[in-house]
Amino acid sequence: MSEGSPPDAPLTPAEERARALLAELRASQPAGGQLAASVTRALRWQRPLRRALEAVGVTSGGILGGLASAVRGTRRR
Amino acid sequence: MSGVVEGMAAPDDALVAATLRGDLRAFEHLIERHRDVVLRVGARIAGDDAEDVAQDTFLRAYHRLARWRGEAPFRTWLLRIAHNSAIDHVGARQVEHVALDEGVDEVPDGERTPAERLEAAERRRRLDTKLKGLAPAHRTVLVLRDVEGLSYEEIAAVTNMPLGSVKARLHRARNEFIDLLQRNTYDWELPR
Repeated sequence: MSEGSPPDAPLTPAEERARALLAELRASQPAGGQLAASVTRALRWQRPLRRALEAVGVTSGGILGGLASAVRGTRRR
Repeated sequence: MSGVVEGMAAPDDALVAATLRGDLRAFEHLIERHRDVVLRVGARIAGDDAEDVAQDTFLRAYHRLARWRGEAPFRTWLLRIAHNSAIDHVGARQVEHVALDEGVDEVPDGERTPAERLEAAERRRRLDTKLKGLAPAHRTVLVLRDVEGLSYEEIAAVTNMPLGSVKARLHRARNEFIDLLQRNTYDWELPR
């Protein structure tokens, strides 16, 4: 079929066959049995680190905000 | 774990909510539930990097979990992350190999002779090779639609493409794939 033909047109017999062949690939069982364990292992050290970084961000944001206010106050005076 | 979340039986949104409350076990259930489709999509887009793609996908998903609002199904949202992660992994390199265990079949082993099982495994291996011959953008839509059975709307959400473009690209991809199948002597039983 050409590129301009309607995408919703019924599939040709060849397209139907290609689709059926590809559906067979769904039966392939991926490896990766340890995936959940490896992800949660990574998350166990990432979570506290992230919290710490967020806390640092909040603290430094507060300090910077305070400094900015102080600087603005000094300039006004 | 919270009393609301009953492990693998709980719906995705309940597991997401439990994860956001700090329940890592709930997130493990989400991984177990969606692991296979993420690995399959990762394998067929990024080849050998499938496990890295899957791990990266779930880590990214965890850190962005609060952003999932439930407008799209969790699987669609997750596959969008997987798609982006796979594309990142592919980068400039060529996909060389797709590593999937061919030992599992839809038809139970007892109902197939060893010769039939070998034949099915060989056909899947050849199909994988043919898929790798497609342009990555074509391979992606074909895998999402014809291998994983996603709807056009889901594919549009995963790939961030307009619906019409998804349909047009899928149409081109399927025909490119047929051309590839017709270019060898293996009998795919394709109607002429």
